[in-house]
Amino acid sequence: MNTHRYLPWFLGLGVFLGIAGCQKSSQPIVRTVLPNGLTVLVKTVPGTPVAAIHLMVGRRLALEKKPGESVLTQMLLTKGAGDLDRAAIAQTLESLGARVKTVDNPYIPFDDYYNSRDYAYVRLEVLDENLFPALDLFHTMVTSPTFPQDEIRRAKQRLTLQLKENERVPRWVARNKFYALLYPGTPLARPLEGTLEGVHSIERSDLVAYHQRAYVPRNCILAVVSSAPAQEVLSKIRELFGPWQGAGEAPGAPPPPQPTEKRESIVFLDNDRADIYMGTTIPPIQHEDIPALRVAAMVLSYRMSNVLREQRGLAYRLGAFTEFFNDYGGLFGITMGTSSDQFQEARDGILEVLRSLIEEPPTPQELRRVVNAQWGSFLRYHQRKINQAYYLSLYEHLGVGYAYDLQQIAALRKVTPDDVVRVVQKYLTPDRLVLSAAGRIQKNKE
Amino acid sequence: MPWGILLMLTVAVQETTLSNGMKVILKEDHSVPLVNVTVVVKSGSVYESDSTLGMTHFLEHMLFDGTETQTRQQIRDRFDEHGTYFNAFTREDFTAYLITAPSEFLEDAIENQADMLMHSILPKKEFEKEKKVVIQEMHKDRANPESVADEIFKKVAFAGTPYAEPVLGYEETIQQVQRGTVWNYYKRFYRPDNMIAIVIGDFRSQDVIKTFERVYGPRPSQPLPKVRPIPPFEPKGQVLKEQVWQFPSCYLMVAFPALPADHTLAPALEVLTEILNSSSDSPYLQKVLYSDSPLVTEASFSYVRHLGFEYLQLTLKTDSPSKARKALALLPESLEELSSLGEDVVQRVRTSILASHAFESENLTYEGMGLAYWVALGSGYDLYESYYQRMGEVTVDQVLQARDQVFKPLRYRGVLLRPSQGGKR
Repeated sequence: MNTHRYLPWFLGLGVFLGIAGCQKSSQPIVRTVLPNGLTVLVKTVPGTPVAAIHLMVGRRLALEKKPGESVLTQMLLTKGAGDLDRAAIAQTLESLGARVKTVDNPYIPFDDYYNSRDYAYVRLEVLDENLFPALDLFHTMVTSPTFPQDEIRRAKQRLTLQLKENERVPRWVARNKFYALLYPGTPLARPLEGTLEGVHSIERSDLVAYHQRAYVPRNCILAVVSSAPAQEVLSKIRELFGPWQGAGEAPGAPPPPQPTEKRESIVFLDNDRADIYMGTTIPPIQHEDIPALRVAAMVLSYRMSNVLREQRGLAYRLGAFTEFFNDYGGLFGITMGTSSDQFQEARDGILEVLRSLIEEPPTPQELRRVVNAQWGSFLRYHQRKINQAYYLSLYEHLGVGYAYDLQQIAALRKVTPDDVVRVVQKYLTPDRLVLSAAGRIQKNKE
Repeated sequence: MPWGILLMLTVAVQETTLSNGMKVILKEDHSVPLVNVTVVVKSGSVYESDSTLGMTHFLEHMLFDGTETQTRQQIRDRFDEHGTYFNAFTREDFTAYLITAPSEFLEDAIENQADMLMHSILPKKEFEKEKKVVIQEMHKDRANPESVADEIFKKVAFAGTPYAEPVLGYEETIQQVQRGTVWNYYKRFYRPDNMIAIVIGDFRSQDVIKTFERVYGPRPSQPLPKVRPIPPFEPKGQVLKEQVWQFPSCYLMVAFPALPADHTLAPALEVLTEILNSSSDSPYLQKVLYSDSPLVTEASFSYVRHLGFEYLQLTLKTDSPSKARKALALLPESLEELSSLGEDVVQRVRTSILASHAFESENLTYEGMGLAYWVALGSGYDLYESYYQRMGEVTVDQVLQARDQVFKPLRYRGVLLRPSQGGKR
């Protein structure tokens, strides 16, 4: 059996130090909660000439009064803040060698990887030597956006056109309906990008109010990864963010999903392509069944790829995934893009491969591959400092500790074929799965 | 230039040519126990004929399907077993195969990759299945407005050249392609002296060179394939064709003739492109996007470089064809306003470009992919290195010279895509 030579080293030392990155020279993470409630995470990683600042803003959809407030706020953070207008912000970013990202690019595949219905982000990368002035600007953008009227009008026009386009894109339609099926009546059921009606009705006062509810210290996690000594960075953060006030809205009990019999959504779009989302809710990330469910997702992905893509040519892109939320546990999802005229075959194929996890439990080779793939992914995903900052924020948000990746690899190694069969039988039965699809599909053909 | 970028650009890179003619670019970085290997094959979709459009990309898929000694499943299992990421992509001028492996499994990953590239049997039983997968990929792209717009734009702007055709080809050409044709194409282009390997990460150069020498075999006795030269993009006059499409938005996309990557003004043209994209300094964006009555919802310029075929692309997105046309008409006067460009703007934009370059270089896979484009345009690392060194020295005069080279006289070809019924569906 192949055993990675770095793995035991990281599992021992990594967990002890709380390392969330993979650089051999990483320092321990410094965590503090400022008196105003802002959680701050700082890590020192020498090496590349890059520093990263990441802000995670929680309950993004739960705090919306009108659909689209969250994404519009994100779009406008860089369009005016404090004494700076859009042009001054752009000039400052350029002169510092910095780039900031607050929304996904809908045209880049998987650009939504760092986004969620649970939280919004502000990601800033900068040349290491300019970290502190970049923190000044970052602080101004997230705490004091000015929401100029002309910028709001432009952002609304842009978003409106985008939403009109998206209504014809099968993947976008199927994905939004998928979350609506799984979490009816909850914030997670809403489209991340809002709705045409919602965006149309949003006024400047709505955005100011949304910012006051969401962008408050206790609803945010700030992570900084750079080569600067952690205490110096922390001192700068205290100076800037310490006076940041705002109580926001106390989190109430999240609304439970409304009971519904609806298990399926088929949307007709005149398109050669059909997108399928299938899945169910699963327990929170800390639950003891999660490692086995993760293994099930990865083995299912391998087998779907082998059977549905490589043997039958039914798809170009497909796979299974898990996703976790603070208030609503997790979900197990399966996604596949296929030809509209092969929708039925594709749907049946997914269920067939899913059943195979019970009839032919994972082999030792498949289980070993899962662990090694996780390790390879861990190394790749943690190369960039901005990603290290993202994972620090995410694991803080989910309350699982910064060594979660490494602990998960250890947990995955303990999963047995029987564990996988058990969780598949417990969570992934056809009566628990919802189906969302969009394409040139007729309901009466099912 | 910021010291951090200076440091990055001075990282030692070794470049060598193996006895079989394969070029290998080696950049050791021991900070993370990972290695990226990107093998660039100088075989792109522009080398296809009308009846074989999409074959280069189809071949890329087929190379994952089995070799003389391994089945498709064995190739994939061997990568997966070690947590190695593997992928490939086909472009107009080249095809790139990349792996990112934990460094302890590098040798095995290189062997597996070389087996795919050099010893494929293009299995008959996988052939028809792979056609279906490629057609699925076409459907995916054609569900995305941006991809659809890009395909139509190239068809119009570059009509009569191989750059007009989609890399994926068409359903009809893929359905009709014969295994014998693909085999001959494979044997013609996939040879070590037509490849450049880029290796970045935690490895020892002498070990990797030995492995490459061993697994890529000898240089073939036949001469390298000769490819027909493609004339540069030189539009006559101003051509904008209007076309109805299925989406509710309007896209205006035009191409202006540009400069090759090895031109002395190429870095200055990239600076100009970013100035035109700048939300603070672009006189054009001020008129079309940031005015009191904006004409467009999105506007962007991009500088696209192929092998002897370069263009600067303008993309506008809006909700009515007349607004798009008005926006295009405002370009010449905006370009004139650049004559008062200040040194401070150029300096800022230079820093921004170099910083973005540093950000991408943090990820070995992205760095390998980015380098692939450069080595495919030239013969090695030199062009890439000198380009970024020159970028740090671009002056206002050079930016204005680049402007004049590209936009005077104003020549372009492009398309205006609009929904039916004048914008309302």
